[in-house]
Amino acid sequence: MNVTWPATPMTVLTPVVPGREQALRESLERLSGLGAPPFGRVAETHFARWVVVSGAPWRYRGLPRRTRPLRMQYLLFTSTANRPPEQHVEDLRTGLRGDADAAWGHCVGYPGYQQPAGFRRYLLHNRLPTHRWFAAYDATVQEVGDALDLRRRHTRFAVRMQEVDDLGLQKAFLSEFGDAELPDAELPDAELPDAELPDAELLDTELLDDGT
Amino acid sequence: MGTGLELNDVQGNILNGYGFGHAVHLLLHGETPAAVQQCLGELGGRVTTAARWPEGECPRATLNVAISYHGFERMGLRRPLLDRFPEAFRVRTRERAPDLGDVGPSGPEYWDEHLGSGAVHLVLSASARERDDLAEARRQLREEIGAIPGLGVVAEQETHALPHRREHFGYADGFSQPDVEGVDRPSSHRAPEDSGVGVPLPDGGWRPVRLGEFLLGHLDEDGRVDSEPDPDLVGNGTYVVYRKLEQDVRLFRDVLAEAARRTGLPEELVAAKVMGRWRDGTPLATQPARSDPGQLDDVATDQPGNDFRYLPDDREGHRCPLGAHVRRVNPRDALDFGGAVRSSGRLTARHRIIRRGMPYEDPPGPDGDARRGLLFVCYNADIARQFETIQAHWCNDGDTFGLGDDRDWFIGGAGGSGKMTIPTRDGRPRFVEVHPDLVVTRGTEYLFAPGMRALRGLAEGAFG
Ligand code: HEM
Repeated sequence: MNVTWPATPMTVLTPVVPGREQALRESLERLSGLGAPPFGRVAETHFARWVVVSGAPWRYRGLPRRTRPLRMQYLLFTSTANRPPEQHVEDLRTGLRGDADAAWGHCVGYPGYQQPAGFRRYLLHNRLPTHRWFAAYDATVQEVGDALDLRRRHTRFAVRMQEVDDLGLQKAFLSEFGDAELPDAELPDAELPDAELPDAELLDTELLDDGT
Repeated sequence: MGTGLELNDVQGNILNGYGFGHAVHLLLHGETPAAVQQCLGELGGRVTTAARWPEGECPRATLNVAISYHGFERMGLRRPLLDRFPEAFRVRTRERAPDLGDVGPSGPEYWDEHLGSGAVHLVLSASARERDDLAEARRQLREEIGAIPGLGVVAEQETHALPHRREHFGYADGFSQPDVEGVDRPSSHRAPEDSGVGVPLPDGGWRPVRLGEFLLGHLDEDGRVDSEPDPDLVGNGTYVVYRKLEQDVRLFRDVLAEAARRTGLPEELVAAKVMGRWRDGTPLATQPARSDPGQLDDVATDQPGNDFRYLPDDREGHRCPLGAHVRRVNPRDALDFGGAVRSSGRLTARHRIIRRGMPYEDPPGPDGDARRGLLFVCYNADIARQFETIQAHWCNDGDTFGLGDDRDWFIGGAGGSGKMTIPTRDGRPRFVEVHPDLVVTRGTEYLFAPGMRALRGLAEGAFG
């Protein structure tokens, strides 16, 4: 399985069993009321949502009132994951487990998560083609999470290190973030007495030369 | 409706503040539809409107009323009407809390018990210039409420202005309010077109914000009239955000001193940089430096300036940081996306609010510490687009302003600490830490303050 698979969209539309619409709504409400969102357990998933498409006499401001309700209601599922579709479907099954049944269980013909082949067939069969799609960046969920972590570390560092002079800042920065590119042993600081080099020059020459 | 402003159909304190320094909010619960209706029927006639008081006839006390979604439900409003109220209004604020950053110490588990739970149906607000008059108004209201079967007071909240219009952290507060179309401002204000509180125009002038941004049933900034769910019910009314924000004054002093030490800037300058105004109210945009900031503690400047913009001179935020409180909550002309949008003021105009909050101080709890803060109250036509956008997108996050994860130093502490950046001309920005405990939420209610005709209709069961 390839975790660096490019981000891929998935759209699945399934009809709700007539009479079960309210139960589905309540079920979704319960799922979104839980502490940790169920989709958080599905590997490599950026975004995912379930939406009940009701065509009810719902009005959006500025649009004319819709007069003809849909004959059936549908459950719309959309997601974006760094997975090939088949793999993503399997991840949904093993990640959501009972929560998958709590939603799709109200839909026509759904076999349940304990039927691997049936589950796979059901979602892929009801999958809609995605004609246009846009991803703002090309990164895995892991990379996004790591980048956010790094930003948090930078923030804490920036706040903490303001009083430090340039040389101290360089040292602290390298010891906090520079481990991979510039091992501590190569730091030139021991040979450089503060007074002899103007700060700017130090930063221009030594840091860049050593770091690249 | 759609044009024209009938001041005697609009409740008072919305378009122009009363300017009274004492107020009490009675949070009511009705057991039956009749209890709620009877309350509106008996008190409705005494509700203070926006009509100008004749010279020398200022009332001793004012009365206003606002209704929660659960109040409308309890009153027996028709289901199709209830269902077409905006989602932000229908959902319990306790459930919306995470989206507004009310997590951790601001989480609903620490809120005042009755707030945001659906228990509050009506809020009666009385205000007065003198404390004694307020006490009398409150006594009378409680007596009348007590006489209505099935109606009870679940909580009371008193608020009192502090000297020199200060809030608890010591800043002068409450004077930058939107200039609203068709509304005369008190003569103490300068002419609206140069007061800097409306919508900044590309030619350098200003125009008032459209009335529909604050009262339903009128044209808004998008050229639309919002009358959902029913023009007779919501016309000339407005949504009210009632948000109790506790302030930790001791922590404020400590973190300010700490920030001054770390940044190497004078304490009073740091206090001004995080707010965007000096503590006496003077904007950094017009006065970025001061020789004697030590004198700011006691008085507010008589007429804190409002006639300023952030572009083109302060694009970098060297005067007023991009992330300062007042620049976030009302970016004026600053949201031009690097020059891509010429009439940038129009974007901000969709996210304005009228603030009528006041400081409060609750009696000491078991630990002996009095709990104080700001009872933040604001009016807007669309809670999600106006108040919630400001709070969630402009204060709890920095993306809109190109500031990454930076937060509002006062009210953006959601979900943990973060930083705020103070750009400086010497090239090295300074960073101050944002503390989630500085201001914590103690509860939120979303309410609707109907127009006077609608209030009468509600009392008669017209929308049932
Ligand atoms: C305890 C919390 C808060 C404190 C101490 C505080 C303090 C202040 C102060 C001192 C001012 C400048 C004076 C003025 O323009 O009237 C101000 C302005 C303002 N604040 Fe807050 N505030 C708080 C919470 C909030 C919240 C929750 C919001 C909305 C989400 C908000 C929105 C505004 C707006 C819109 C302005 C006017 C800015 C302008 O027009 O230039 N504030 N605040």
